[in-house]
Amino acid sequence: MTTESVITYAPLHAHAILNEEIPCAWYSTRRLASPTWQSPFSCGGIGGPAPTTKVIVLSPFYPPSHRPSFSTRIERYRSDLERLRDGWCGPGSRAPTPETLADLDRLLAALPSDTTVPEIEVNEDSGSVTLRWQGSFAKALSFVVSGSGQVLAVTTTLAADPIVVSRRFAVSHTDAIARFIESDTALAAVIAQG
Amino acid sequence: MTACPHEEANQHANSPGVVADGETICRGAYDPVHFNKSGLKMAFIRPAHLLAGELSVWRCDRDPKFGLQGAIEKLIEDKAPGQTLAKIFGAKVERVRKIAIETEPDKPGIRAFCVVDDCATSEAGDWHSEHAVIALAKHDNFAWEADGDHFTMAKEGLLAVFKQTLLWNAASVRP
Repeated sequence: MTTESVITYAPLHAHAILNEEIPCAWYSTRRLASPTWQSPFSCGGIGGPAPTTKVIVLSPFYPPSHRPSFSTRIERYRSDLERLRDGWCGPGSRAPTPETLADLDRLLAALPSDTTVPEIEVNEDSGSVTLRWQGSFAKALSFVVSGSGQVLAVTTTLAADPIVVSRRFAVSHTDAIARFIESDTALAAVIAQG
Repeated sequence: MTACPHEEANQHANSPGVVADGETICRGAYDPVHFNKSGLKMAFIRPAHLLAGELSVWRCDRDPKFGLQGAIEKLIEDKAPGQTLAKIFGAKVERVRKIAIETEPDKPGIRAFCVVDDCATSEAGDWHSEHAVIALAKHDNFAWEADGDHFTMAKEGLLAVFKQTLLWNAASVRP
């Protein structure tokens, strides 16, 4: 069974008008529950419609010249990280150190301007920060910074036999990080489109 | 030495048998503990439980009488106060067993995970036939370290594989 729904939304990183048939699993609970979703939407679940649902997604169109830069789009999240203090997630939890945030800033500067805002996670035990992109692509990519002056890039190839590889870069070597992304079209697609 | 010796024979008196490659295992993601503003957190994988060899999963398609509905009921029953079961992610056992991490460039990756028919659901002796665990594979000359790159790679790989298959979403269930 295929259900057609019209959904309008204004995600931070939207930059095109999409009209796609997509697995409903790609939509998070939060987005579905968000008031920015304008129409009823039923997707998956026990007794629900087929896992592939025709969805027409209308999102704001930003001409390339007006599209907010990645640094602008991620600023809100970056500010949230800076406000965290030790104990933010219960006793013993650690906030990112100034060194970790400095590493993060250097990493962000190395990413292409059309980068999608990633999932951002702070490790409560260490205060390290992970940026994570997966979306619908055959690869997932994570960058982990911990204030050591290095970034750990972890790539998971989501084939039948998943393989996970990593590379370490000095965060100051922004050219090397950029080349690492550009050299793999699948990775470039993951971070550009989430 | 095999990386997963405990996979090869029943590990619990009430086990219905070793976990087959063709089975689907699933884990519940609870709101808010497993989510932040930007998505599913690594907490979903519970690194400390992985290191201890006891990341809890449910065998959600081995016994039709249990199935995904049985897993939903168990996950709701087991939720901590203040938590809501928001989603259930699943993975084929074969794919979890095939996750490999590259420890040396240009060499074959090593196996990261075992899936074991450990039916124990508490230290008090509770058990369920459809309960199993994911544990880290054991390798000669190699030890998993909580803050090591290899463990980070394994966690990221497992999270990515689970995130590919959303089996159930509370937001889509009509009351």
